[in-house]
Amino acid sequence: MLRIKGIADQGGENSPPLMGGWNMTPKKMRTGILFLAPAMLFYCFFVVFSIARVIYYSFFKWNGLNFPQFVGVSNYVRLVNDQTVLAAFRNNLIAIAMALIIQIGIALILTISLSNCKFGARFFRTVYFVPAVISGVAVAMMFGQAMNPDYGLINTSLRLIGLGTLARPWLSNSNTAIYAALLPQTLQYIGWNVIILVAGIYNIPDSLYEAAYLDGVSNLQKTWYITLPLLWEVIQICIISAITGSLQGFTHVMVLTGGGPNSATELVGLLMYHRTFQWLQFGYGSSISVGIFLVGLLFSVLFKRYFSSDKIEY
Amino acid sequence: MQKFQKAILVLLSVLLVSVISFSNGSCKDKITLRLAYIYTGGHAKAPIYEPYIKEFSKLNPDINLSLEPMNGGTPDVQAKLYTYAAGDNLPDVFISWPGPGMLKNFVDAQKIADLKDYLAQDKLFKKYFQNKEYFFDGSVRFEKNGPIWGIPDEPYYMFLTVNKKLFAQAGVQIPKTYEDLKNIIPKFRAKGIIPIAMAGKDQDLNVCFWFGMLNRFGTDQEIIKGLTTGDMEKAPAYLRSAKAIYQLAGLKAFPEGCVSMQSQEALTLFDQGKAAMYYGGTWYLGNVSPKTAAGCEVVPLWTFADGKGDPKELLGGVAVEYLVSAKSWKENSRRQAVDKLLHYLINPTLYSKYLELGTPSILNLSYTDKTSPLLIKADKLAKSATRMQQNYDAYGSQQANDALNNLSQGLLNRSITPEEAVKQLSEQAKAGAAN
Repeated sequence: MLRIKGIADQGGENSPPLMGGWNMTPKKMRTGILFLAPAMLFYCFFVVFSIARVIYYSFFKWNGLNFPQFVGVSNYVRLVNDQTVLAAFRNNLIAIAMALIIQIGIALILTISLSNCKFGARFFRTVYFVPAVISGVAVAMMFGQAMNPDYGLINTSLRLIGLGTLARPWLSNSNTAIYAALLPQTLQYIGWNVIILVAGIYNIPDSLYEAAYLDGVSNLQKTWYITLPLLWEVIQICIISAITGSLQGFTHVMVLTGGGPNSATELVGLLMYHRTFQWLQFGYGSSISVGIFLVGLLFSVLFKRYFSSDKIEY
Repeated sequence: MQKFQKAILVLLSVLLVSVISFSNGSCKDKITLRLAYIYTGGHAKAPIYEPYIKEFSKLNPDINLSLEPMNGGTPDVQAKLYTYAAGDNLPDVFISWPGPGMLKNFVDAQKIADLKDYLAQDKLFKKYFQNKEYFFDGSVRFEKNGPIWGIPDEPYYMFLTVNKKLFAQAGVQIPKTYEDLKNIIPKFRAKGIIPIAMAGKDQDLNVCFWFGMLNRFGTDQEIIKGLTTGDMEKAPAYLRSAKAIYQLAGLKAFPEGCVSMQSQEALTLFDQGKAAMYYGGTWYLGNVSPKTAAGCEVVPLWTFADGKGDPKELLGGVAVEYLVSAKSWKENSRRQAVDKLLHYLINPTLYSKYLELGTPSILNLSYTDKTSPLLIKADKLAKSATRMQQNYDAYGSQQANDALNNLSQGLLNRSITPEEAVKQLSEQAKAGAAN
């Protein structure tokens, strides 16, 4: 009988065969592979093959219509010297900062409040999650109306409460446009983080809080010394997805400003779209995509290396 | 258990095969044509165009017309068409913007059909374009007696549309010179009226406005040369027009936050009587309601004291045209179907309905009592023009046009100086020409 080295081995020869596990006959194995094959084929074709093609085209000058011309690493040389790319990357860093501070910050506060909530926790959890399932385009359009300088909710409210001097064309002013354009995507995914964090917080054993209660610690101390350290692994997941999500930011900014005014809200994903599909520079656009992938990978690796802690056991 | 799994696999395979066979069989004798068009969503022509083309399949049961509406601004639609072309999957017939710059990529890659012989032989088209071959030049034909890459669908011309009621309210006259304009802006503002409706998000009103200024400051040759080569030091019109836009923005000539507005939003301000004028093409007339249109006038753009442009020249030509995929044109049966579709699209029945919207026609159609009064005025203005000049973006590369749009946003919100804007435009135009 074929045995695959794995968790079943730990149980020794006499351990019972696991249903759907590693201990299976060649026939069962073949069936398993057959069932997996279509999904694997799709995955390889649409993901692995596509990534390989993008890397391949990043070494060519190609407008998508003519024959590609090999240009070596010149697209990458152009990429690191392109001021627009650097400006777009700076905007992505702002997106990351906003996601980390506002999105995860608010999500943490809401999660901790929910864990202390005796009534209606389920209701509020659903309410917070609702924006995450709405289309990004719809959310961006709603914010676009709210930020209208003339009749928008934000400026009208400011004028109503006597703060009219603060009212401004949020999306048209080059100084405020990037923050205004990034706000919808930052706020929309708070609920998504809340759901992940709530799942994590419910895994913390009550006994720890009961012990802390007997020791007479305050709520703030409970949060600081028990909740946050034990939630750190889950927070890490939120941070990594916030970073990668912010690097891929596109929809909201595309709808709200299209990268304007005068490229003030350009993000690298948006820039990749503009260069590839509007300027027909498929080779250069591919090199931008590879750049986004590498930066995302670098951020994740660095974060895991310097901030991850040992697995916590309760 | 195994028998059960096998039975499910066999059942799924049978189901898949039968679905595929059925889908092929249902359209076995029909030719499916794809038509990509822009008259959809909020476009003024959409309520007329979309029901009209849906009738085509009913009238031609041998052709299954697959409709592909293209929403969005010019760059997004262009991007969609380029992507189709890159995948060698262009629709059989599609709408595009004209000009050697806009069509260069399709022509170089031999993706669109040369319709010169077809237009010369087809009796109806021959009649339609008799003595109107000027429509082809610079829009779908780029050299004398050269190939014709499309069939013009809609002509246009550009002018200043003014709301006379608001001018009377502010106690001012329609500006004939730039100095006149500068003088009346504060008077409009004092009455709470936006002097000029403007939008910067969708590369339309803002770019047209810059072109209008360029046309007044410089000669067409120097402007086109500047945009196609990037050699803008020899074309002072660029810097002077940029300075004028920057100055007007400083004088609050435009709506607050116009940079993030769509052209249709800006035109709503005009239509609602909140903005006194706008500069743009005939394609905007459909956005002005009959009630507002009744109190409006169309006039040429103001002049500049030291401008080199011909004040009697209008920017105008062909707004959009139908292109045919070269691949479809090669197949005889498909070509016949395309021929039917083109005759259905370029048709007096459809064009006469457009007159109500204020859309001029490439065909000689008589006005009716429903024709937009603004169109009648615009036609009169066009007839008095010494010549028409196709809009300059028809010549520029996508990169140059994109830069023009971005930098005009920078001038409108005054985040960039005119000198820096022209420097950047020149760099982008040079890079676009090199690609």
